[in-house]
Amino acid sequence: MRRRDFVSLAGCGCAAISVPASGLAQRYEGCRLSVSAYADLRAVDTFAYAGGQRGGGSGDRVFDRALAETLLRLSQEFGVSPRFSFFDERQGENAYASPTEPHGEVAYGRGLIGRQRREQARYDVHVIGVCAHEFAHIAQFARGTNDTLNRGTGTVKRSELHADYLAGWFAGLRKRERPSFPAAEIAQALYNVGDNRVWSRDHHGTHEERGEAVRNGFGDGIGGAMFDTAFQRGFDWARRM
Amino acid sequence: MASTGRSEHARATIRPASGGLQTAMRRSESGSRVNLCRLHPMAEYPRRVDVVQQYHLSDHEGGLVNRTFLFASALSIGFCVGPQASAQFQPDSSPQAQMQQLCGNIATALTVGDQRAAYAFAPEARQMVGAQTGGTGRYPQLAALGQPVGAYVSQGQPVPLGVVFSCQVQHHAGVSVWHFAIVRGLVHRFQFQASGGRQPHPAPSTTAPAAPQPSPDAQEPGTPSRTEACARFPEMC
Repeated sequence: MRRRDFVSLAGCGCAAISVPASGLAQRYEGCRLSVSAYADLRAVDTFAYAGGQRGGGSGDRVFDRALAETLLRLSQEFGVSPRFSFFDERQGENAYASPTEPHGEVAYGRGLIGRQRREQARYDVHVIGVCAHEFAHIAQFARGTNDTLNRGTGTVKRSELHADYLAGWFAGLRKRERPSFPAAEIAQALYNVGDNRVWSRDHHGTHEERGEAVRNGFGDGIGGAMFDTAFQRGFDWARRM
Repeated sequence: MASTGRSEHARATIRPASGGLQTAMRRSESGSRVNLCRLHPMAEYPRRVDVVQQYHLSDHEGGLVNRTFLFASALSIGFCVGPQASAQFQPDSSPQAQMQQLCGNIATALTVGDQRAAYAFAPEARQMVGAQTGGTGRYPQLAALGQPVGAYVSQGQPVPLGVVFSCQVQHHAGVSVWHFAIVRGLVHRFQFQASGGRQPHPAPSTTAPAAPQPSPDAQEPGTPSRTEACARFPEMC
């Protein structure tokens, strides 16, 4: 129950965002945040994960070091190099990806990460799940597939499921390297953020769809598929949804 | 921006050495030279003084909240000259491959208790390893994981007199994650973390400096097999 509550607010989030009608809401596209909306985020504090440099972090030095290493790994595996920042959420708790120049941005709410730390025994895995999902969006932006996937659907579901698929791929990759990696926690996290608001533009996929997306991506990862292959397979899979 | 695909992590397979390390060395010398004892990473790295210790989120069974880092001091690299070795790596002269070889060889030595590895340690480190292993040079935590079978370097970072790098070693029954600091061709500090294996891995008493501590609100997580997640996604556990 507690976990479900958490995920409904966070997960790879976005579904629970609540913003003023005149503000971000008009520009909100699922996990995607427009460049101008990104500029509206409060107290954005860049966290540099490459090159051994450390910017402002979550406040936990040890956690931040591990996070930096994980982000670097995500960057390598997904072939993207977005800026990563923490920010203070206006309302709710969330994380975003934004196609800003030159390499995109991932913004992680301090409220979200704080809640994860308080409520999740495996909060580190949940953070991985969120970050992998958002990095997948950055990869979508880079390849221009985000709009292609969603075209004509009226929702962002396909691109969200595609991002879930790639998060699952990353989980599979880690599981392949380290059998004790708790990959199922990532699937569970994304399963839990599923929603049934099928008529809403912000519909991200049902619980079952999101879990299935991660499961399929995981199969690619554990099977040793390269990112490009997983990306295409995920794209084809999501397009059928 | 095009994807670059998979990471560039170098991998190597550790194979049982039928002829010992001398054979391995001869083999290496016949092709591209691979001599860990002559590792000079700085010759091939840009010089930066940006040293960090790295480890992944959830890189062991307990995840970030269950860190029990084992901190020892250094190794040196000379032990590889010995007549026997339990592992060898594919010849490759790149800095990353050298770090990879070093990682695998040291992990192997400390898994089986190869006494010649003592020559690879800086004096202080040698004493610390001896103290931590009761003079055997064999860490039970590693032995419980079984023989190393593969290794890859996750990241390297040059320092003025050497290099620090992280690597992961796959054992028969688990994984160990390592962090090394090599100065003047010697491994002055190392740190490893074992996960998996057939028995619990109590951290040995050590006076190691600056070992990361669990956060105050750390909780002991359950293993994946006992979670709701594994019930729903059993194929992912």
